[in-house]
Amino acid sequence: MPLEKGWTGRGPLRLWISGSRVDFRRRVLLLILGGLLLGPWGSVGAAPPRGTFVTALGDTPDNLNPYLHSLLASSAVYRYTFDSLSRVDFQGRWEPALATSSTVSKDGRAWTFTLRRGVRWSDGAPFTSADVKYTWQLATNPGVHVTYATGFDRISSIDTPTPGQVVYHLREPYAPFKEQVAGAPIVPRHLLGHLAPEQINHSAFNRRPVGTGPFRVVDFVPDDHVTLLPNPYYWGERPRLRRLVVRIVPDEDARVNLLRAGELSLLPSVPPSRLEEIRRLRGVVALRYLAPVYALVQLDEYQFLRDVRVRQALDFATPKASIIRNVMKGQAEPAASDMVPTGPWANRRLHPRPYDPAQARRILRDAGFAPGPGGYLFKDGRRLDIPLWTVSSHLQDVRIMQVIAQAWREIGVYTETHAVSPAALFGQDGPQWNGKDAALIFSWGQGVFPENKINWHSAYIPKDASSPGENAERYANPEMDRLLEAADRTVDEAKRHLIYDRIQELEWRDVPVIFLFWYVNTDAVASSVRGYAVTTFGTTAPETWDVP
Amino acid sequence: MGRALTEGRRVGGRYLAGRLLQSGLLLLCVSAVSYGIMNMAPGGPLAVYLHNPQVTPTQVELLRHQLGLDLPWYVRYVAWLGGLLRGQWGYSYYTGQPVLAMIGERLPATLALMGASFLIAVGVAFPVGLYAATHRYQWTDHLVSLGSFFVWAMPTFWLGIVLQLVLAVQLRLLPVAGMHDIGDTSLADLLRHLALPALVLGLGSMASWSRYVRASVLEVLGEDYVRTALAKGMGWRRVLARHVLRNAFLPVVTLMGLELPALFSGAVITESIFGWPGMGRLFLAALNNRDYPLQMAGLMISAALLITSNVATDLVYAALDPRIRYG
Amino acid sequence: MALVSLGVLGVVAGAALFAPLLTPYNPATLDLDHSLAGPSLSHPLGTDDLGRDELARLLYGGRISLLVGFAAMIVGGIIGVVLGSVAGYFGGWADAAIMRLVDLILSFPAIFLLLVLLNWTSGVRTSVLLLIAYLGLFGWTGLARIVRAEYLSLRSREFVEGARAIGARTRRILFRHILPNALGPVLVQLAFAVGGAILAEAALDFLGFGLPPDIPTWGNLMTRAEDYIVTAPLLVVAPGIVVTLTVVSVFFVGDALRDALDVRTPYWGPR
Repeated sequence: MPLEKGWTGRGPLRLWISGSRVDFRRRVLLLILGGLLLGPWGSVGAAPPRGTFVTALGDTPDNLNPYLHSLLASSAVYRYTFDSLSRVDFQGRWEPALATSSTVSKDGRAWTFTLRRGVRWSDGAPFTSADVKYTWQLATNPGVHVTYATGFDRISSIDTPTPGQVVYHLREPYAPFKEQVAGAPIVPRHLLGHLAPEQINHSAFNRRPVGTGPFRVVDFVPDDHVTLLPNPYYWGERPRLRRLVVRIVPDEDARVNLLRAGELSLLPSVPPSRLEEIRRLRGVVALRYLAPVYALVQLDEYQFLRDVRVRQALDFATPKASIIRNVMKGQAEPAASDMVPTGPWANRRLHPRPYDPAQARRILRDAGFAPGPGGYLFKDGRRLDIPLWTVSSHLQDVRIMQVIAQAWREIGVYTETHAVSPAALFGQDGPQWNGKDAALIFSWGQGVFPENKINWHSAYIPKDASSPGENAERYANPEMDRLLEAADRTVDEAKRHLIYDRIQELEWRDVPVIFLFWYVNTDAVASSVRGYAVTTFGTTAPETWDVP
Repeated sequence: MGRALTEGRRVGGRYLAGRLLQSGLLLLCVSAVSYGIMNMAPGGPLAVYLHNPQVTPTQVELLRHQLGLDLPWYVRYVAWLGGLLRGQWGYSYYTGQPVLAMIGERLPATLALMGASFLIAVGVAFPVGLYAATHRYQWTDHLVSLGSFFVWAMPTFWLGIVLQLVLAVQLRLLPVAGMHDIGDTSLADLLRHLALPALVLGLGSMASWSRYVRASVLEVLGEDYVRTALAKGMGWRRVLARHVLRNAFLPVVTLMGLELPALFSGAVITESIFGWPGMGRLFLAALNNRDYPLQMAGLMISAALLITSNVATDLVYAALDPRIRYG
Repeated sequence: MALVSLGVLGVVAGAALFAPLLTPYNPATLDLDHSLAGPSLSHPLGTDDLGRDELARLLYGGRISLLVGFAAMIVGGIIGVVLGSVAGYFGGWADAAIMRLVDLILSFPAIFLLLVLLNWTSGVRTSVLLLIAYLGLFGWTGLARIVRAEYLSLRSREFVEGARAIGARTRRILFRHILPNALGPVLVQLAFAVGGAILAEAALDFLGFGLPPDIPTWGNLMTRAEDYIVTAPLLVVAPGIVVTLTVVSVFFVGDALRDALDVRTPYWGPR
């Protein structure tokens, strides 16, 4: 055919038409060439310069005003810029910050703080008791979109007799006052005090805050990075760093890649699946610590789950040690209650129930259950149905759920697994409100302080999906209620410890939830960094970090 | 195009006016339906506070009232619509910033990324598709097919992480993530940072577009006028350049039209892996947090873009193909 | 090539169908102490994060993925071709109505619609049928647009005039005469639709609309292994390769089908 004259069409190397140089090798070559041209070898991925500390977050901070923020990422940034009256150091001890000393009145209703002298805000203005009083006014202002202000509602009034003294008057003794109010950030009155509530909600302060902390925010590009420089007026030790940069990279693997490329000084919370890889890296140190966050199985008491024996049996039937070893790959520690073991409030006499399916079966048999059709347990003609639920995007929780399901089925519990969206899990049409037994797997960030009334008090059993209150397992025990109320009123530390010990005993005995484990985190630090250490309570003070 | 003049206008002014009216009505419809559906979906802007150890019940109630969430959704919708028409698109529930400002901040980064990936995809898809079509059924064609489908089938996160590991971490050719090095605002730096994410995105699109180009070119290669042109003695090169390319454009134009709104809405996974501050991440966060004002703003803009690009595509289509008449 | 593809498809489908004969493992049995093992004699593709045999999960996963993929493609394909052809051929009101519907569906985030739908089906567990419904209902829009474009350009051709002249019924014209000529891009789209449905199922699973987690599908095998891209790459790559093979085979078979049905389009290009 005339078409084929002069052209064979064979072979990928033939350039048979100008303008379409399309064979493979050239395409790949072009890509590589392009890459080479765009950056000379080795000049990219440079390690941070001396004096610059670079870390990475997975979310962008939404609001740097502590009383208007919603996301954890925001507190991870504003912690560098704000101080409170007292603070907990990285070993769990209270130390003075903006207040040098404090006293509590005999009746527990008046707290007096003596403020540190000579403190200035990062814009140079002097810090006084008026700022402390204003912080309370902001936190209780009904026109401002205040998010977290627990404890401030207990204050009936504040006196500021001198610029260096503050007296809080409480309606009644309130033990958590120390961590909730004295440990809360102080915000400047001279910048916010004259603004109307709506103005505060939309203020530029929320992007570029001014605080008394060791660093100040100079640049915030949302979704990209936050740059902080030392606060020249800082009252404490002069920060050794010249610059602190927080980069925002949502993907976990990408953050690890950043660390591997040497671009980070600190990677908080290395994902467990890449720990081995990080540990083998030269120039990086892995710091392991227990996080005050625990994983649990919430047992919603509607039908059979109202019987404590059923809950205890399920506790025996849950292979917690195996989950820690095989699913969490050792990056978890056993949990017997909701107080973190490395903290001062844990009841050290309690130990988690061991995995004992035989014991579980015995307990259920004694509770009146007998094997029926399909090999499942029945009582009064009804099958023991306990569906398991968790959030589909939390891959670890999905794995844990499958392990627990298999173990429960072996003792005769009929269980179906559900991995759904958070809205479906906790929403009105979810398993918590349908009147049936259900087991939900999720995590709870208890923190290092013992306040847990919203979890176990019967007054906090939520009526529906939009009422707050975390006692969705519907645990109701009058003794527990009394203890929780007493704990809030008991300012004496020793007595408070005894109360929380008893509370934890009840948690262990009554199994309102099955405590699975405490999360172990690992922070990866570049070996060029000095002064950084981390524990359950937090890090060493940022002003002591250095990259010499 | 000469025929158009003799046959009278094929795309009349009436048609255009009709489309514009339809577009306006459609936008209104979209806004109402979306607002309704959004509010019917379980969860809500306050969900993030409900499952948090530090929140107080009174605080949540107060927030609910402050954000107007205790009013029925149609009341809120009317208020929102009124504000929209007056140019006030509202403030984000979380940051308190005006939503248009938040969108505007991310627009340049998004356009850069999506534009670059678009160019890469087009630039690679056309030659690849053309090559595959003209070497139909040879082993090179099959290799290209296999390669294209593999790139298309593998999830974006896989492609992104693997390329990031190889090119950025192990070979150190390109930066790992972010838009620029600390303190560096040069264009060269931006391009270096743009290369990887644009490549990842572009490769994904390229795979499917090259298939369409191939199919389209094959169709054209079967046309009578091609045979006629060759019989008349025109060389292959001229045939391709004159006839084939222009007519193969058509279905591909539809495809490109489909992709245009993505220039605005960005690509979440790629942005997350490479820390690129684009729209995709912004709207995903808005979606997850149920930040209604931000969500609605994004929705309106992308819906408007979608509708506009459809109208534009139809018009371009009519311009390119003399056989199409509307009405 | 078509024969090879048909063969590949046959092997893949057959393997999925006869999975119990090909592997002694139950895809849901956990074996925690041997999780994330590499390929070995007892586990040819290694084990996944909970110790389940990867090959078994791949084989059983094929059953659901292939079923969902093809069914969703057929559902979406029928809706898309019918609506697209009507819109393209008749123009006017039909065209406007259908295309505006497409615009509407594409305009808002599908996730919300899914959440609301899930509410209305009041927490009914996602079944395979529901999955096919979701995927088919959301997948037809792209095809409809492409089909419409083809019909718009083909409707004024001579052979259509001819068919009208001899009095052929509209339905016949639409599907017997025009459709074979529009098949080119349509088949490409359909091949992608199969793969697209398989991958979309993975996305749905991640968002919480998927099947219960112990049931494997190729899609959720890929998403669940996201944590292990670096440490156990086979877990993501193996399902990806299988999906690729399936999609490629569908494409080639479709291509051959088009050639067989197609009397009109010769190929004047270089041989």
